[in-house]
Amino acid sequence: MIRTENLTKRYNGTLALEGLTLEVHQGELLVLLGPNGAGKTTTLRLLLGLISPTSGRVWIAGEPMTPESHSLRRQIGYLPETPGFWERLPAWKNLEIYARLYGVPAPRSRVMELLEQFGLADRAHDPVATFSKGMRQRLALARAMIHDPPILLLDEPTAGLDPEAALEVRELLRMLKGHGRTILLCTHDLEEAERLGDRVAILRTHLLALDTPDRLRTQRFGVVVAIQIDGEPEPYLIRIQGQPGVIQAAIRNGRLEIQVTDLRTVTPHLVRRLVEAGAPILSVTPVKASLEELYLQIVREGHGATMPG
Amino acid sequence: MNWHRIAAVIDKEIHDALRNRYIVMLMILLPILFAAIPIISLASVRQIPPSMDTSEEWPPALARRLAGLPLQAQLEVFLASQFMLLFWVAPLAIPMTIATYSVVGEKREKALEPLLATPVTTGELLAGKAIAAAFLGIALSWAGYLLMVAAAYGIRLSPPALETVWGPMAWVQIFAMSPLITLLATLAGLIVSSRVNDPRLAEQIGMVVILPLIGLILAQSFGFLWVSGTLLILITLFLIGADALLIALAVALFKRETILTRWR
Repeated sequence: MIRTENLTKRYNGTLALEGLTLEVHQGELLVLLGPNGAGKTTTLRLLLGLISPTSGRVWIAGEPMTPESHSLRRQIGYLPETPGFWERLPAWKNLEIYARLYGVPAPRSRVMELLEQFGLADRAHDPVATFSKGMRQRLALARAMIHDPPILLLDEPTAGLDPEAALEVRELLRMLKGHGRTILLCTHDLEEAERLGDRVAILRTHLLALDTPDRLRTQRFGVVVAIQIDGEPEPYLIRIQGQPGVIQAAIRNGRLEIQVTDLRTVTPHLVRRLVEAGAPILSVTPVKASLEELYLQIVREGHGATMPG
Repeated sequence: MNWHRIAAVIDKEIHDALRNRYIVMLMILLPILFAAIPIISLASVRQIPPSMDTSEEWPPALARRLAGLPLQAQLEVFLASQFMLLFWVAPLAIPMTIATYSVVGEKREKALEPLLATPVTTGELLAGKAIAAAFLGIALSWAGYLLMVAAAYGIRLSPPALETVWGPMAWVQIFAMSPLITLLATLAGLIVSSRVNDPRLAEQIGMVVILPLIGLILAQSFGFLWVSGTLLILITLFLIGADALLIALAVALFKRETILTRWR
């Protein structure tokens, strides 16, 4: 649905994005992660044809996107980093103008339907200048949805919102994802990325990693199992080290943490060895590195994990 | 060009302008001023004693035109002619304010990026903005002009003075030249607005394009020349060409990428 090939953008010689090649499949939600200035907003603007690439190409729904591809923009709903409304106009009028620009039939009824859906119907006639940040963000999402596009490009939709408003927006995103839309979401919120994303792309001017969070974890940290023992774990560490399938074993947080090649086959064997050694096992749990740890490691290293697309 | 999209942009601009107190105040005051100032001035001519002879003071071009008229009629024609020139530039205040705030204001509100992400083309966007801005100014100046004409008949101006405010030359000035000048200034305002950061600066630079016309008005006021029918037609033709040129220039100079990436 979205495809880029070797996309590069320089602003007056300053490199903003380099060699980005990625594909977002129909119905997929891809989260674009990266520090400030990593090229996330530039990527969205290139996908929309708002700016032209220094080199490389973009395809939207199979069609090449350029700054002149005005009608192709109907395929895309866009929520920019700052929502940007005509502040003096009421919410309904803001949306109605956009509905007409996109050629939506019966624009007024579509506007009212969306305001209802996004919980803003009772404020429809109020100027946007009187809206809270959370309401603006909901209105911006409604605007992005005004022409019912198959693709949504969302630039930090929960940035700067209080937890309650952020939760509301996240619920809306979950609802939008449920309708088979292709979504590209830029965010700094790693929890949000984990919850909503089918895959994550980590960007720092160039693409550092692209895969599902679980696969990235496995590639980076392997599979780790934690075994809690009633008492001191040290005597049992030696029993574990060197066992088939064990990559590394250590004591962390008062428990045994063992990096294994495969959770399903290796864990029962390890448990059996420990029981034979008389270890009073309290619990056995797989350990999942947080996306934050994964992200920080990838960004700090600044070079690619695997990028199977 | 998609006229539905242009109509949507016009609708937005007009709704936005009508919610701006400064513009609404101008919209109420200007037609009244346009009508009141000429009429009060023309009515005050009646106070001048008919014995006063000023015919030798007129500039030569005007003196020929006024020859044989009674003194009051001469003064009425002179003043009416001056006020007709005022209507060349009278509609500019509102469109210039709207046009110059139009792009700069949207940049400031960050409302331009989502707008440019729609299928609207640069030509449609600028056409919508220019038409909306010019329409309000022209409509109000026409309202002021019609009020003035009604008042001119009401105070029974002399027939030559009436012909000056409601005759073929007046119609060319009001219904052809004035909109063309307004469009020229509006386009200039839009061009500058898309290139600078400050709406006041945009307004000032935009006004530069009408300086030659103001020069013409002053030249007539001081008697250096008299705007004849032929000169009016020549100016009108020049304005049509200048407007066409400025439309092309506005589209060429509206750089979406520069506006989005260099404006913070």
